[in-house]
Amino acid sequence: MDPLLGALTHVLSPLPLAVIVLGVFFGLLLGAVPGLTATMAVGLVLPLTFGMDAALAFPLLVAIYVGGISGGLTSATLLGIPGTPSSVATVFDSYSMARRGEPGKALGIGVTSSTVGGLLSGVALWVLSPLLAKFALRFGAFEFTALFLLTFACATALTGDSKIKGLVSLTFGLLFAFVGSDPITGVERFTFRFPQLSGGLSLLPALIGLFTIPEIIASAGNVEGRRLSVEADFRPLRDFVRTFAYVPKHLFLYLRTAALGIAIGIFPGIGPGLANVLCYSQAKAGSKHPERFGHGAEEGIIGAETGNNAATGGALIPLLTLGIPGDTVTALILSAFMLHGIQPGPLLFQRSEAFVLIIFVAFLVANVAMFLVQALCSKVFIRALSTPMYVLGPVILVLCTVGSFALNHRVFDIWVFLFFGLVGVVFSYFSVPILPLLMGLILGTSLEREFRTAMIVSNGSLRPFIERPISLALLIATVLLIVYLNRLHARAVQQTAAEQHGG
Amino acid sequence: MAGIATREPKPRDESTPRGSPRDRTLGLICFALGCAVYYYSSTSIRRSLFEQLGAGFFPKLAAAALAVLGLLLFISNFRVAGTEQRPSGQPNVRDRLAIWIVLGLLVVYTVMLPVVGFRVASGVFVPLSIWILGRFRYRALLVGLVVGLITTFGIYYGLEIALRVILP
Repeated sequence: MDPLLGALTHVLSPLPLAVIVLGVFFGLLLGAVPGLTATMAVGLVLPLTFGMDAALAFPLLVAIYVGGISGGLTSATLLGIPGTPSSVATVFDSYSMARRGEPGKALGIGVTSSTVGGLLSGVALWVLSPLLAKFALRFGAFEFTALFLLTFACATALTGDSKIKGLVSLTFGLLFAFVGSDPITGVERFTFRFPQLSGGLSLLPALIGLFTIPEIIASAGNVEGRRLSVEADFRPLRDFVRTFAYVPKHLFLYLRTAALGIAIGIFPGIGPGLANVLCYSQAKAGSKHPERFGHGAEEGIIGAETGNNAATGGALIPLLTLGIPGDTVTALILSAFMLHGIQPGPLLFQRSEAFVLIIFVAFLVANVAMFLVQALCSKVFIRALSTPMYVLGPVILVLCTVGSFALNHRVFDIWVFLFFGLVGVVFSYFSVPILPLLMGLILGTSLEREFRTAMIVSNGSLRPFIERPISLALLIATVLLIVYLNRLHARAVQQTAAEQHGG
Repeated sequence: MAGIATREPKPRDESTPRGSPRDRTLGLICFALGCAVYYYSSTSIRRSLFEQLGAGFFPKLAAAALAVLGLLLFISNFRVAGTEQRPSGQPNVRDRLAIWIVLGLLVVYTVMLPVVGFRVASGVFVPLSIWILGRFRYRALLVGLVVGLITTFGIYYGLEIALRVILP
């Protein structure tokens, strides 16, 4: 059977389809609750996928990712609070539109834009991934080392006000990655006579701890939940379908912000959060009526929501082709690859083409399912906004504990989860960004292995790094990106601050 | 008064960034940790006979970087201390205390898991935590008992029985 036909048949058969719909629903539900993110949604479900077939587990995770990123729209529109970091800029216009008495239209434009952005990024994922994978087959130890440096530069260049803190975070991540046996000689490091550490720190409990415990602490203020109501004649399906009329009207805006969102997603370590803000800025810059932005402009919602969902497909491109996560959610999906014994990277496209196609198709189907689930279950998500955190917090903690244990059936991993939860809390207290730590933790061992292999091959000479064209290009790109991303970030921060003060 | 020069206090230059005491503390912690890890890496990681860089190279590099970054953070925040601004929307002291008590309970829960098993430990942890976070109200206790039962047995039957995921 043709691999594409096989993938379509598999994804559209009842069980995977049900799993995708459930995943989208769960992602939307958690994304809707302020304080709970797509990362937490994927982290909570990841342990459940141990016993699943990979062809079922990955569609589920991708569906949760798609739902989780879109879920923030509901609270952004109805409460004026971004449910997830990827809906910060959505608030500016969707909340104003909702307050003007048009919450159905605001939600509808947001959902339609998310769907269009997601579908376009799915097409980009399909087209660009095989090309990049083919190109990445030329990579050796020098190129991979340069690529990891590029990734670290991306992750630390966007770390807010203090670049030093970004580098501190990255360094901690690297040090945690060096725990366990050295990848070249097998010498044990930082194990402190704990045999459980000789294989390194378990990645999944560490990631779950880093993301869930600080998030639960941060949302402790939401003790009571929030009661709200939308207009009585709010009919999601009708209202959402009507907003498809905006697609031909603003077609160029959709395409422009989707392209930008995909490009931002492809850069390792950036993801939908920044795409949301930058695409909003882009929509405003290209508008004939920029003065309407911040006061319920439909272009504002279109730009922000198309951008963040377009970044999801973009973030999957470096994950699948190079084994480098595009953002925090794809970092968790990378750990799922490891758990299932699958090595993402250029060879994945040669060895498991059918599996890659299943992920592509599942991503596209998840975006369509996202629209339908939002249209049919919007009232459920609106009700979810009033769920008090005091009920959710302990349940999430138990699920995280179970997830940490289930990996290796070791209580030791629960302690790893708690330790990294504490690390996350300390980082949050000192306003140190988590993302660089995550990148260091995930890629640290690979960087060490590739660099030391390169040094063995070149007898300790660094010259091949500048003699080999791809490696040289990657190093130059690293320097240029640091400069460019710094400027980009400064502009995004300025834009967000201006909008928040203005409106 | 003639002949006596009065010294006006110099107005503070608002454009000068003030140092953050919190960042200064972070700088010191990083510096101390970096030095300790560097010392450990130099003395406790065995050198390799066949490879030039050895297993200690990267840990030493990262530790040295951490110490230098800590020092930079400390120096760049060494100016006049500013007051820390608490972000708005932070939970109040009571809720904050409650969440820390629950995290303490989570540690006890982890210790007790292998002793009493998942069902008993979770059956106690969830209602108790909900009651504490719900400000010790009767309604919270009631909700806690119901949610505790559903969570514990839902996870038990859903994971251990249906999906065959081994529980503690």
